Amino acid sequence: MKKLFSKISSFFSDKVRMSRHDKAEKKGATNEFDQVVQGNSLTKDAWRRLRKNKAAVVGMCVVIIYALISLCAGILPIYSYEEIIIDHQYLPPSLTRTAGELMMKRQLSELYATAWRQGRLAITSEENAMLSQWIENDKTSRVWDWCYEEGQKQLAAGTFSFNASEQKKVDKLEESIKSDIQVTVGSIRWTDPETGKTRKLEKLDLMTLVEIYSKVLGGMDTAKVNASLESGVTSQMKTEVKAKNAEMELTSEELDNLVSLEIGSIGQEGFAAKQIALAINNIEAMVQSSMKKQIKAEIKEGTNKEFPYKATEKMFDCLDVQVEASLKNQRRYILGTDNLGRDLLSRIIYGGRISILIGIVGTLTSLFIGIVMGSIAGYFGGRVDYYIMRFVDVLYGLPYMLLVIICMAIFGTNILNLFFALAMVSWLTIARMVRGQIMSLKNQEYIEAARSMGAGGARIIFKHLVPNSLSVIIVYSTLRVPEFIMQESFLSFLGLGVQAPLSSWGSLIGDSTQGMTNYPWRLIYPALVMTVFLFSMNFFGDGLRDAFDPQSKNML
Amino acid sequence: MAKYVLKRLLGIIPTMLIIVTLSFFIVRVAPGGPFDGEKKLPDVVKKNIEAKYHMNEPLLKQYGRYILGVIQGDLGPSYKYKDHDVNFFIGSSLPNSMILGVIAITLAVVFGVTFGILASVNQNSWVDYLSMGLAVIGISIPLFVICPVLQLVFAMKLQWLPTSGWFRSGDPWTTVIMPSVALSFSYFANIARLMRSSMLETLRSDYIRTAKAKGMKRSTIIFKHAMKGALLPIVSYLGPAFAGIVTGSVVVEQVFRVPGLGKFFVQSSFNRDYTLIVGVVIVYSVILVVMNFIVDVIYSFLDPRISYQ
Repeated sequence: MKKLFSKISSFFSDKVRMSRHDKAEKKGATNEFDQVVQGNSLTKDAWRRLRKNKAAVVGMCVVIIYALISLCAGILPIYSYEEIIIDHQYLPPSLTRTAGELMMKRQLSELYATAWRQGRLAITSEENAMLSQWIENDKTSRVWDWCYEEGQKQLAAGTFSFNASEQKKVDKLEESIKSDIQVTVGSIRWTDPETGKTRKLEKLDLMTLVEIYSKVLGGMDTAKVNASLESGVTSQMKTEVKAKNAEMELTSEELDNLVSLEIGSIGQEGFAAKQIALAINNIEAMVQSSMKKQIKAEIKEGTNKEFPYKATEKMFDCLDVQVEASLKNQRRYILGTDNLGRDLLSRIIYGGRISILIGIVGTLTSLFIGIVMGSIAGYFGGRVDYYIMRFVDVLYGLPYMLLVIICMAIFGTNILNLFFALAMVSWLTIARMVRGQIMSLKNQEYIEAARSMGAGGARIIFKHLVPNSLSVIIVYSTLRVPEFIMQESFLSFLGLGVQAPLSSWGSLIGDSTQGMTNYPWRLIYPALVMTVFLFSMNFFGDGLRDAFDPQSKNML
Repeated sequence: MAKYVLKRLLGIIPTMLIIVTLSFFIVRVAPGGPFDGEKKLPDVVKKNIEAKYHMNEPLLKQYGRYILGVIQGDLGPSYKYKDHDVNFFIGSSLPNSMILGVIAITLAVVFGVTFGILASVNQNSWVDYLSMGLAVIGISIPLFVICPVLQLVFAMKLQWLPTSGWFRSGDPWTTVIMPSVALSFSYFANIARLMRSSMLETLRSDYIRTAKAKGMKRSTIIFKHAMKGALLPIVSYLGPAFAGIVTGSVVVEQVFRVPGLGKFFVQSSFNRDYTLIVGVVIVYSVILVVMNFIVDVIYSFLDPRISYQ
């Protein structure tokens, strides 16, 4: 027994000794003085150099922050980017004041300004001249601000008072600011009373929807409901056709003919799809309004509701509705709102998400195409190389942004098209670069070694050549991302890119050009956010290039 | 030399042909046509219209007819604006675009070269930092941000310049300032950066040292010896710069309401006015290709090392 134990222990101590020995061996490379020498890889070296470049580090940090914000946009405490609140149009940015206070201020300024026009505001003739001068110079907002200050003073001093109708307006606004509730309906699920299954409304067929709708309406006859849906869709199409032919003066008869033609062209299925969409829309609206009534009634009864209120409520026995309710005038818009009362902050964040996504995915796509084409041309050389490169040369000569504009205008403006159009024209430079890299690498010994071991063309290209030219490609592609974002935003600016309710930095800036004098924040904030990102991306890219290729530092 | 020029001239033809063909077919491949969207036309009327514009013929025949017209300088009738042909629109709007583009490129070259030389001669001084800072700003801020911001600051807040309009009565040239400055800004930035780096490289070369050793004046060295060599990269950059200015003018013309080609371009793409789209693309590409050709010829003059093969 003792023997066995000693044997085991000696075995283990041996093992321990051996492993220690191994470690020392692995630490490996020592110089002639037996000091350990640490190898340094290219990336490590580049990282060391990058860290020294302050502008690049700051740029990298900013880029990371942007990336984090756009990744977490869903869980950030911001308002919805597509929720339209008409009352909140064009609210200026404010950190401290709520939407209600801003609306009140706007209402009061308007009233005071009217009072000034009617001569009821007691001011000196000099001040009067100053205001008229401002009006002449198109500085309405300044006039309003001044009138507001003056009016408040005079109201407090008792030298000015509202007349009855004005007072009524103010009171009404005050009341609505206190109590107006915004109810947002999320997903609606329907529980089948027979089988007990729950499904989303969008996945139901028309018959069930009609049944639900009739129930929501308080047990109306299903045939009647169906008829009303049909006429609803018809009138919808009528307005569409009318809008399409706005420049022609159509008689009602012609219009009816056109509509019936249109109905014929979309067929029975298309019509049913439209009916379904309309039914869902109506159900949502009904749910929303009855929810609003319910909450208001509860408040009146004295039930204390915490806002914002989030819950899944059961309505009309069979519907599970995700409801979100908040006092809408208690909102704070840090960066103001746009022409439809949407929160600019969240639009910028979600817009950035789309812009950055298109930048990254677009770059990756163009990288993929460029690497494949460039490496084939570079590796095989000869006739293949000649034809691919001539093709690239010809494409280089094209005014490609113009072709992208045509494609977008004609094939429809959605994100997928945008992205393809951009990727198709932007792989040229990468292909040229990869080709050059591969041509310089392909005669190296290790490639010959790989070939002698029987590796095929594809394996050599993608296992040996491409990884070895990757650092150049990575550096170049970080500089591509801002360019991609610029192009995407350029198209969105022209109205050819991302479409509402989605936003992108370019479309935000494009939308803001109307009414710039009165609502400058709509231009300034997206422009600022975008510029900061492009700046830091450029600095980061420059830093990366300098780090990977120190020779290039003074070149460009 | 003459052979080289001739060869480059002949090279223009296939490029133009590809451009015309591509845009001709891209425009027609997509669903929808110039006469759709309006009130649905009775079949007879539609047939008559199509016959008038030869749209009932097979596509290849239309293509041949169009190419023949283009060679004779006729870009066809506009489908959307009756009684006007494409030549009329281009003739009336091209001069405006040309004025804008020429002013912009001149500004960019003049200021870019000046700032680049100043920066390289006074390397690591405040002049250097200022011009390179300006250059970074110019490269990072996109055109469609610069345009409205300039408008906001100089036209609306300071009220120094008119917001928009083109050659308005009274003081005509003030309307040109903002569009051309906005358009030239990013090219100014690139040229300044390029000029600085190529100047720095040239100033370090041997022949400059020789000139210095001979006791030449500093200004002579910079302007007579160094600048000539350093201008080469600028000349080769001018090709892409022209392309960018052509595309950029679409934005500038929209923001500053310049009645130029760019406005027609976006509008006609939405309207599917086939002939007008293709016509504008042809004009733009002719400008581009010709500019590239001129740049190449100048380049081969400046740098005799380039072989004319």
